[in-house]
Amino acid sequence: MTGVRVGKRVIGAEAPVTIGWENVPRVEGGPFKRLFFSWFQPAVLFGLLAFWYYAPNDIAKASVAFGIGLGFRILLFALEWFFPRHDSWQMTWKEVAVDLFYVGLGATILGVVDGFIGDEAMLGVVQDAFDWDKFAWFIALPLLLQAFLITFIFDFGQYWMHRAMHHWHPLWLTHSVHHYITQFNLNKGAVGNPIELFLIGLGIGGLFDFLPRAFLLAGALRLAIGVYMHLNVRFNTPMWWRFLFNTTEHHSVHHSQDFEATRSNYAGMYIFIDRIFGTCVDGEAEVLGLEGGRRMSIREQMLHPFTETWKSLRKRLNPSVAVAAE
Amino acid sequence: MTGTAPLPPSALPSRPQTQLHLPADDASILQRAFGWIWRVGGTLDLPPGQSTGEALDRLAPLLGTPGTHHERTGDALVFIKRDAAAQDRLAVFDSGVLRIVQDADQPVLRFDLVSRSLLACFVAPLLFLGFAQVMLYTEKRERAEAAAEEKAEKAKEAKDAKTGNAKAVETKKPAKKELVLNPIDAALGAPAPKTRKQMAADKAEKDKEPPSAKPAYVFVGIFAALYLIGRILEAWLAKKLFRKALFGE
Repeated sequence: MTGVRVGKRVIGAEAPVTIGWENVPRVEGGPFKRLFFSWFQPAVLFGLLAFWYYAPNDIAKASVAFGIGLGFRILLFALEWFFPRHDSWQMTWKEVAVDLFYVGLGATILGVVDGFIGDEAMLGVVQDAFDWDKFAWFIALPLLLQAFLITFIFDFGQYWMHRAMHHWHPLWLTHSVHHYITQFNLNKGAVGNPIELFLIGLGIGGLFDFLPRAFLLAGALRLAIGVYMHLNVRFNTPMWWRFLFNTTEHHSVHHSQDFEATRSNYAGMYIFIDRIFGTCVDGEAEVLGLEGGRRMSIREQMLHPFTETWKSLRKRLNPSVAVAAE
Repeated sequence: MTGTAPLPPSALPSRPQTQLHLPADDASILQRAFGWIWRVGGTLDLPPGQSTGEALDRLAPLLGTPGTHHERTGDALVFIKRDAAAQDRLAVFDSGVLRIVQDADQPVLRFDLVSRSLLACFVAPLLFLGFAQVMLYTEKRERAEAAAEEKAEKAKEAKDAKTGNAKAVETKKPAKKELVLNPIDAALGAPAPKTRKQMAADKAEKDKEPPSAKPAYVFVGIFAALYLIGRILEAWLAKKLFRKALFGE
């Protein structure tokens, strides 16, 4: 495998990665099918924004947002089932069960832990210590700009946290667990070691005050843009979308078995952040994972950062034992 | 359903070096009573005229996936799996025996497969019931703390007013301003934000609701349903896979 030069790097020398939009397949079939898969993403995005912008106050609430999010995910689940991007990513009972276990952790016990030591709690301590109110700089801005800022501030932080996770070994130990997945589907974003899930969820958005409706619009942006990252459905995504937003294609490159390719496309929603910092690679990959596609059990996923740290410590403290063990 | 794993041969994890052997026939009481939770079994008639050797030759490739180690022991194939990829069509099973036995008048495949995933899914509702108790406890504690804080603050304010502590009364935080829309949003017709009074009323209404661990209970239900689906679906899929291999469909 020779790979393809992208800037100063060679991508795809170790494992297959398709580089360039012209080489990425398009949805084929009848006119209705092509129309549907070409306009689905923009239609959902603008439809959701319009809904939350104009919904009366008695409808614009978190419970309605939850219902819409759930309904949309069920629709995407059905699309994955009937129109999978890759057969090798087709969901199985075991994968659904494992993914839902992580979704369940996030919705229950990790939420409780987050309430005690998450970003909101930490920022609350800082605000109390310095007797700060929230910064009300943004509250007078137009709603859509506020919604963008909520998502952008979080995504910008996530970009650097994610990049640090790929470049600093202690953080990589927590994040690498997520890279052992060998296929994408709707809930794969929830799979990972709880320490990583905690770290990647940290943000400083809580320091700023926004209108309640701006949070609902931000949720709509996150749903309509971010949900495709791990999705097993192919769309004829418009070029402007691919320029601005992260897509399944971008994120599959990030998850490929090619080491150089994994060090790209770090942003969660806004791929233009990667473009600004020179880490964006446009393309896609089907063969995903680490160690040649070895799958990790849940037990190993939970313990991996600790067992690897222990191994490293042992090696440093007593090199002769480590060599003998190898 | 799924295609074959697009993984390079070099992807093969190190093979477990265990010597495989057929499980003993005398299952323990525990196995007999509860084995149905994590074991999937069944029989399948061989195609007419197919020998034991030919049947096992046809079944063996199903066990040639990364992370699977199998051995042929007489008239049976025994396998164990470790870290099977999502693309492995028998990934849900950790070990098993595929044995050709002589039934009344013709040979049949008898399979006995063990799945820790099914067992984990079976006990997952208990785990989430535990999480529900933790959620209820923490919510009750948080509410009690918030109520105590509010009570203490009100008592302090009353005391300051009574004792004429002018400085404390003066430094009391001013009431928050009403939220207003940006003129652009107002011109485009976005609804105005709720007043502080309305928001306080909403919060008071929410506080009246009893502590809830609804998400945890939802996942109790999801995993109970998933277990039932998996127990039936995976047995059916395994049988279908073996039939396809034996009949060359």
